[in-house]
Amino acid sequence: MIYWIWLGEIPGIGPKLSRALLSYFKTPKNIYDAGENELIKVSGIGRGKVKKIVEHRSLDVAKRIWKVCQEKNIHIMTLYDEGYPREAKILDDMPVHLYYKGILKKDSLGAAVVGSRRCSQKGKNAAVEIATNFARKGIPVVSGMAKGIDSYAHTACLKADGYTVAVLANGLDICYPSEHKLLMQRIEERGLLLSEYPPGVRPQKSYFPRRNRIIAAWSKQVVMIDPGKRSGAWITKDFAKKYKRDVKIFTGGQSPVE
Amino acid sequence: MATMVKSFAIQGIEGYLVEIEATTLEGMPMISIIGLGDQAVKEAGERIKSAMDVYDYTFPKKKVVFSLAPSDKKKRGSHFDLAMAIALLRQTGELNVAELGEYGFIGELSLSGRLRPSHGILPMVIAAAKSGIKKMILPKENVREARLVHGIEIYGFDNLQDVVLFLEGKKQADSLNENDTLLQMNKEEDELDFRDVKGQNDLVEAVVLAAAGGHNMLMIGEPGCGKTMIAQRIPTILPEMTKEECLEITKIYSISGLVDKGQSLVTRRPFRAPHHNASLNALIGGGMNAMPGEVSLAHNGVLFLDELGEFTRKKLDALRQPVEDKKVAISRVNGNHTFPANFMFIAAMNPCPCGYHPSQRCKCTDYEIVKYRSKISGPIMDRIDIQKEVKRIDYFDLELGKPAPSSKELREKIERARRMQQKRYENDEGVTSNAQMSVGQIKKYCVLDRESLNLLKETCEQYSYSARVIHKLLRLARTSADLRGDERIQLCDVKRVLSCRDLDKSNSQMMVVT
Repeated sequence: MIYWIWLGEIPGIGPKLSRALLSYFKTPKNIYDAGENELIKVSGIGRGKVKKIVEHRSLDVAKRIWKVCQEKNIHIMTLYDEGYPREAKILDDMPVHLYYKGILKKDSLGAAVVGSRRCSQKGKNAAVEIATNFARKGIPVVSGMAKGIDSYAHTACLKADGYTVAVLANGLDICYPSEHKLLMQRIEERGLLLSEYPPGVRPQKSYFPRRNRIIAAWSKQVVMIDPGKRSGAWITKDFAKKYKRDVKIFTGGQSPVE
Repeated sequence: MATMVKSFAIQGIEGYLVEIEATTLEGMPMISIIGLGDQAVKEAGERIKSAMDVYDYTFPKKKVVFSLAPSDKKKRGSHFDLAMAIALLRQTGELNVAELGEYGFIGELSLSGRLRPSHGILPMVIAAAKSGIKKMILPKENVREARLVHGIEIYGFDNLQDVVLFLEGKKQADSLNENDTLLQMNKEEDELDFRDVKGQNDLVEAVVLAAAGGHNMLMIGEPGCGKTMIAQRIPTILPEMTKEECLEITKIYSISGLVDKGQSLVTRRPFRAPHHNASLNALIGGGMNAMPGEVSLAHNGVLFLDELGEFTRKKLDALRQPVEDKKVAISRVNGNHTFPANFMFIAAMNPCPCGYHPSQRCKCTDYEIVKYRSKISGPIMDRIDIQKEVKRIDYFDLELGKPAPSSKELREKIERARRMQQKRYENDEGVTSNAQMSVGQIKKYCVLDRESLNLLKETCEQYSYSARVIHKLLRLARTSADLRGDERIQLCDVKRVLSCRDLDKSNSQMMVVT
């Protein structure tokens, strides 16, 4: 597992290159052991990238992360695991491994409910209604545990005894926003917390759009509620279109617009 | 032999007798004041010496010793000056009288021999009357306040010489007793009236309920909707104070130095609205020489805490004792003091951090709202019976032109309900209002019919109310029936009471995990 973490921590090697490396070498350990001559044979890997891999051929960081994971009950799912939903796995920009906490169901793919952080009362009611409906039908509710719509979706789903997946833009040992401490705890007990970032990573502006792509990938359909002009929900929508997911938009409690 | 003269000091809100002795001893000329006086007492020597100089009284060229007994009690203040000066004058023979036993003296001396007014006159004069003193001599400015006490002659003077001449019988002082006229004079009309509160009928009804049964109340509403305006008017609908109540509160105001110059007796129920930045000691009472805090200044009146959420938890928790026991005990180096604090507790807060929940303007998340509301600790919430939402009113609504009930009408209603309660609790020790009913008394006095019981049960299940909240509701229902003058609680009372838990209702709609 340490080799998986190591692969994820090499700067400049993103999901796409990792996938290319994995399809050539099969396991991360092989990549670690491979010589420069062999690495260069992988398509998309140039001299610079090879140099990067060789330079970072130390397991210290990965070992440290692995230790924290074990202490804090954070697990790792890899591309080869069954828990990684097939529909998400096949997308070429999804990470090769993800950190998770809580209950990993065999099929955790669900419906995303995303929207504005500062929503209206109507938006809140819509989110609650939609999330409750999904929960009753046994569809997992996927969202980002942000303020506003996200939190209402998770909460409503939990209240209806549903299974909910929260994708975070930070390490799983950090609660952001901090007011959701209790919510995070409940999701861990009865749902799934997901992140592509190892424990200890604080949330950063650029992480949130990246997080949104996982939300989109992890769902069969995406429901947007009250998205503002600059809402991150639009990013989720773009990814959802790219991944060919169903998208519905609710504004001001109105019926869905495509 | 030393000369003894009587003066008074204050502990808590009660005065006590201080015997002041003066003597001259052989030795270096100096002044020594013993008896645990504070800096103000120690400095009295200079004031006395200077005042005596002004009127050509000789200050002895010997060691002068003053003793303030009881000697083991700490004393503070400058009002011992007069008594000390008189004792010394008699000791040196400048003042030629045989007996001073029937006199009491209070007053600070200025360097020019003038008498300056002091604080805490009322409790001291009451103590004087109790200890059998017949004649009280004090600064002219304090006469009005002192005259509230019966059974003692009050003489007011301007300067030291007048006092000496009066004691020697060379000058007359006018000693009018106008006690009752004074009381009458101060009962002027209040300019605040509930008639000005428009469009808040529901809320006014809840206020009447609170005032009638002695219930504490929390108003929740957006900024500018009239919370403070309503709170300010609550004293106007409370029953008029009895003379004992007036004296009690005047005593507290007297030691705090808050009695107005022109006014002697506090006849209006106090309204205190401390800012949330007030210190713990300012709120509860305290300081090195424990002084009454806001809770005591609101005695027999209304304590209004605006922006309840902004008060620190520590301060709110400290309010628990006074709210419960109707008094506050303060322990300091200088002794233990108990101040009365029987006030009606009215609080106001915004419904959420931005202030506009539940209107469309509010953009707070439910988690933020819950966090904001949880700033008020459970124990304080437990002591608040009525939580009422203050609705936003439309200024241009024609309905608002209709006359609202005036304070006088409301007060009559409340007085009627209070009389019913007084009768009911005649034989119950320590209970005077519905809010103080014990669980046993609730069983006895709050019997519901089947219909009301069902409604109560349904609602309580819906909001999962605890037994404690149900008890509160029953107490309120009792008050509501009292307001109608009915011994039996009807369905309409229960309905009315259930509308007094707006915060619970709003909280139960929050979409948060628990």
